[in-house]
Amino acid sequence: MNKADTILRIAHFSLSFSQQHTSVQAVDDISFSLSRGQRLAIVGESGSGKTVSCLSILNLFDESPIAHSSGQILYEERNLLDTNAPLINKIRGNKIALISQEPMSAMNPITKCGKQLSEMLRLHSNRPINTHKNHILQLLEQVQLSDPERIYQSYSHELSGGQLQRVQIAMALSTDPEIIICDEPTTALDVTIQQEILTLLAELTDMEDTSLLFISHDLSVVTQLCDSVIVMHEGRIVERGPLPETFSHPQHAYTRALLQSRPTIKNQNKVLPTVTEIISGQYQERPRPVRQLGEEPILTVKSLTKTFDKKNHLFSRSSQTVVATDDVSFELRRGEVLGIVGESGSGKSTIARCIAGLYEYEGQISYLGKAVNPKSYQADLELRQKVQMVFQDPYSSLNPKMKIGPSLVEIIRQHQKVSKSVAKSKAIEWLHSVGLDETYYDRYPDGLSGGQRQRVCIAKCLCTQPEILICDEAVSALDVSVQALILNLLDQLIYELGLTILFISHDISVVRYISDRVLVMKEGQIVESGETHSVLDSPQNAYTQRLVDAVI
Amino acid sequence: MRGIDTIRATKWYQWLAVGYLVLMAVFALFAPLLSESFLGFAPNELTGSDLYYTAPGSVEQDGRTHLLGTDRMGRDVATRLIYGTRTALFVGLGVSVISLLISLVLGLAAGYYGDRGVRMNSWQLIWIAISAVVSGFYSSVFGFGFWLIGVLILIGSIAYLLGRLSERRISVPIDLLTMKGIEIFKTIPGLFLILSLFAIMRQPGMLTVILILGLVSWPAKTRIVRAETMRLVSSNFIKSAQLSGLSDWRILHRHILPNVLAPISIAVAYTFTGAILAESTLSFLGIGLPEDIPSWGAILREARDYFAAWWLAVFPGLAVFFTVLTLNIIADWLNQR
Repeated sequence: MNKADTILRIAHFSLSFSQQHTSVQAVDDISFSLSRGQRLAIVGESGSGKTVSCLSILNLFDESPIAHSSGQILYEERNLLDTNAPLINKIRGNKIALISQEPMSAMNPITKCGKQLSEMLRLHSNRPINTHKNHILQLLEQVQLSDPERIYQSYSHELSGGQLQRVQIAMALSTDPEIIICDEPTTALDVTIQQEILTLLAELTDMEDTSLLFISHDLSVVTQLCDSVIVMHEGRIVERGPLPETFSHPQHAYTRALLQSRPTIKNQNKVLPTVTEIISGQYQERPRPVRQLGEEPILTVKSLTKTFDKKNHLFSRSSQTVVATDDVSFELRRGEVLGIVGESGSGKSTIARCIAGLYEYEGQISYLGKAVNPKSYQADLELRQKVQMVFQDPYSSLNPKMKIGPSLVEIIRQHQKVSKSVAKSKAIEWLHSVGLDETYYDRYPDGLSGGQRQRVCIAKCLCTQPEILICDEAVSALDVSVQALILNLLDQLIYELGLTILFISHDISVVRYISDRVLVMKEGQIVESGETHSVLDSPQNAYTQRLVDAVI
Repeated sequence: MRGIDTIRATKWYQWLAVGYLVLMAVFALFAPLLSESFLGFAPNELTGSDLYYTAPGSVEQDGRTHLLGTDRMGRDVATRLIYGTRTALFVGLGVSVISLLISLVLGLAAGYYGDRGVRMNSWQLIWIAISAVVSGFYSSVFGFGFWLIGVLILIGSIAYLLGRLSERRISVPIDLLTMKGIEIFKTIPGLFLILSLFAIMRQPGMLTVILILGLVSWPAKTRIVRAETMRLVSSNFIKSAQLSGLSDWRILHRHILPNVLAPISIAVAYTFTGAILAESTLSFLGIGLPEDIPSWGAILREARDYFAAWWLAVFPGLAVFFTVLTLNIIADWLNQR
């Protein structure tokens, strides 16, 4: 890498946000450079400062929340931190483009995609206006969208997540940028689509010799696409180097922790190590608790069908019926973890909600041999409450106006006639069993992290003394290290309380780690089922094959 | 970014607004004491016959001073302003409470139960329909009063008992009814509605004014409560509360209500302002409170009769102006937090 090739250089950049009286150091003295054609990954967990530092390159931060920023971000010998607005507008979007995580919110919902693309060209390119449309259609073809003319005329809500991400890539490419910043561009997408997008990004940047700054928390995605990596932790760069060597021989303990706390085939039978354990060097391999698998079915689902009516138009009377699950049957045995995998829209969450009683449905669901009323949750309340559910988003799963302790006490007293003080001591017991101490009793959910919140959610479920716990993408929104903690916790709870778990996830490696049996779903139907290792190690169905292949 | 509170520093005028509000409360609470000991006048005391329409600062024969002058009948304006504070606060508070109660009951029910959550048997339906019409009619003929609440409780408990007669239930589209009710209500111009309600009343007192103003100011807040409730119902923490077996009542008052109160408190502050303004308007038009209750609007009305008496327009006008400004500042403040 010689000096002339360096197009972006970040030198001793620090940034802190102001909170009422104190300031929080988001980025602490980082330096790195990006050369032409390089694909540089920045990895780290949430709060590590990876997104903040990259958005600072584009000056996309408001003045007000920033207390202090120092250092230099040099592009074409110019410090972007000091650049005035008209100049930065010429650079961003034009020379440095951004692809963001949420393709839906990155597009203007009331303007057609084609128009948004031509706006980019009008602002940044010197082409004659009458050639714009042709150029855009070419771009859309280049990002492998099958019907460019239709996409050109579509609004963002008419396209799928994968299509929108392609449109975003087309938009980023439209001005022939020198650098593309990708902020978790594939995190919100299904695995198979993620794979296609990554290949596309690799091909296109190769062709134009564009540099890529790729922000991600997903180490496997990064290994696949990028040629060098920066690992960030708490605002600092802890390790940097070429890929895949950095990941195969990590020097820093944090990098090692990130790599080892992911569930893989190798650590299938061990308790997952946590980041603190590895950094402090206290991790010892220990075997996972052995499960007591029963043969009797605790829950039987027979030809479960759920349809949604979807209104087409504001004024049209006809409505379209969407089949979410189509004639699904399976059984859940006592003490096991049944994984359900599938991409978004495969109907896996719908099953969870039908079982929990949040939806009405057709078909039959029975607990312990007793069928419940599909139309009314209230009718079989006692039976239903043996089933509890942990949701994906830990931030919306707790009442922000209620302390954690009282919210547990409330549930305990609903189910057992006990005095307040007895309920309180029970609540503290449950907090202990999910790994939180009694200081959490008097706290509001506000200051809790995602992992802590998810623990509280699990504690709340346990308060009803359930037999079955449904985890609907319960670890998907969490960082890898936190994910490992929650998976360990579930493992332990299964062992201690004899819980039966229905584990729904799109993440094959997590499902492989935690479940005994697995169902693979596609478009509302079960395409394959059986013992986890036999299904995922030697998939019979072509779709399962694709899902497994997409994970490295 | 999550978890970071953006509480801004309190501005000087916000402290001023709080101070003004405290001062108003003091005036309202100690109105008799203040006017007796400092001004020496009673609110409806008619002073000497040659002292009507006297300018601020004029002195009585016995040495008492009319700080802000007198009105058409020689009553002391400063005293009436102080007593008017009492009226303004009373009306503002009463109207806010009544419209808040109506909007909470309707909004929570509509938002939580939607069109299918409330199920009644036909006996209950018939009973509630009949009693609603009958009690509505009689309460408008005999004037509203607090006995209305007793009647509502009676109707409710009989409806509850009727629920045991039959198990066949029909779902009541409570959301649809509430929203259509709001739409119908909104098609009638506000002032027109108030005027026609006052035309029905024979002798409007303070309570009538509060009830009427309260009854016309619920729709906007009901909509806010309903929308907020619907948002909360679709959120995970309400779902998990339902799954853990908590009763509807518990979910409503422990989980939804505290989360609804924050957004609705802003709307209530604006209602408070609106009520004070509306009461002044009505008194100005001469159809609101009876003559013997001092109110800012009533003093303003007297300025209409004698234009040269500028003090009759300026002082109560300023009082209304500053009160409304203060409450709006406080409402904005609540909005930011």
